[in-house]
Amino acid sequence: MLLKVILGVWVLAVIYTAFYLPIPQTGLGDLARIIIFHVPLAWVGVISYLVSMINSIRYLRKEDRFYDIKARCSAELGLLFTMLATITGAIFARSTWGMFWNWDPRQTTVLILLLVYGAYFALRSALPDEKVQARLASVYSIFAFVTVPFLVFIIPRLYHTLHPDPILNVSLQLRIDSFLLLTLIASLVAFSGLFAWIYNLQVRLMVLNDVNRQEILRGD
Amino acid sequence: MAARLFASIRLASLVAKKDLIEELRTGYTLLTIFLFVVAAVAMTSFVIGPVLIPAELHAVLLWIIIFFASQFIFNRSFVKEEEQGTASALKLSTAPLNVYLGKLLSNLTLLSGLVLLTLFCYYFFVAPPGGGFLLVAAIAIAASTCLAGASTILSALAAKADAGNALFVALVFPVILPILFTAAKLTEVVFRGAIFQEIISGLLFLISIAVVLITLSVLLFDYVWRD
Repeated sequence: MLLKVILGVWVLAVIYTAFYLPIPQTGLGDLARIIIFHVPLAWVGVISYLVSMINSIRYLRKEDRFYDIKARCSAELGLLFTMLATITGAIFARSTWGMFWNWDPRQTTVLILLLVYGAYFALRSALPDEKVQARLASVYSIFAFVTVPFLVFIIPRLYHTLHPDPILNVSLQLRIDSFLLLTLIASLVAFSGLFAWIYNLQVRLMVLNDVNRQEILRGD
Repeated sequence: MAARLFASIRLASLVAKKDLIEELRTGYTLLTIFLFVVAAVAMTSFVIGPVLIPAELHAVLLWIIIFFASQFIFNRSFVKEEEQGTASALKLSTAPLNVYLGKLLSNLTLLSGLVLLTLFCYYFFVAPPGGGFLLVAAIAIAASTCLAGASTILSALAAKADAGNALFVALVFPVILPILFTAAKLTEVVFRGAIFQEIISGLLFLISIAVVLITLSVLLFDYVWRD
């Protein structure tokens, strides 16, 4: 309970800081405020896919349905957070480049990432047998994660992009105001905590649903 | 160890040979691919006419034709095995690794033939700027290896599902798009008149993707293939 209260206060503090505290008016100016949400959303999206892959490997090794449920929940959250990162990115693009969608390499690769994980759920829904579904979805989840480094880190750097330099760029230099950086780190912690909390809730809900369904099938 | 490796390669080549002989006997897939490629390239040439178009447009057109033509190849072998009920016989006759490598080999052979045919037709009918046929062929073979590496295991996944054909497109399209982007970008560079040294890093990138995809598929195929 205490952890949840701390997380709630932390998230509120980040939101307040993002909207109300003054930031330097050089560079992107007030537009930079969206970075406080956009970067952590993208970060949590990638972490979710990583968690999904780890649980998929564990499922293939142990064939325990619990790991499949965990893999599915984290893939769902990954899809949600990536969508939110895409939306916040599009808002930023509208304010800086004049259009929500520009087919910038980063926008294109994030769209492909959404399609990759959309296909994960299409695969699950096309397989009626639960054991086969869990096994094949695990294989696809591992396969899908291999595309993530290419789509997030490599391909956007091969093409000319309008996207601002990533926070951690190729030359490993931080080109961000120190106050904004501090808020961004606080936001990363807040969104990671938020992910852990939602993930935990979702897994527990799905386990309960699963137990109920098994009981109904057995006629208890 | 070496004896086991050679035995595995021999069994995989037998699986590939079986698939290729079957394709040659029925013939209609190969004929469909041939007609599709010739028709698509001829139509492109007719539409472009004497107009000079930029190198990037040539590269994109070439890879769009290869992408659509490759769909005739990828989703066939595993779906056919499941539909004809021969998958069980294949499971009994050899290890999953040999099946995967055999299917990969047959897909790669067909796909390499397809891309070379497309290139010949494209250079004959459309004549892109910059020349560099051998360089584009090297890019096309490297990209084909990536495409075959990804699509072989994904077609085995899709064959297990109810709507295998429709699902295959949904599964494979986003995974192979980065490969197509890279191949099209490299082709554009060659059409601009680049030499081998300028595309070597891109070629190595494609080869590294192929190695990653095939290694991963070898490790995971057993889970897909078992009942």
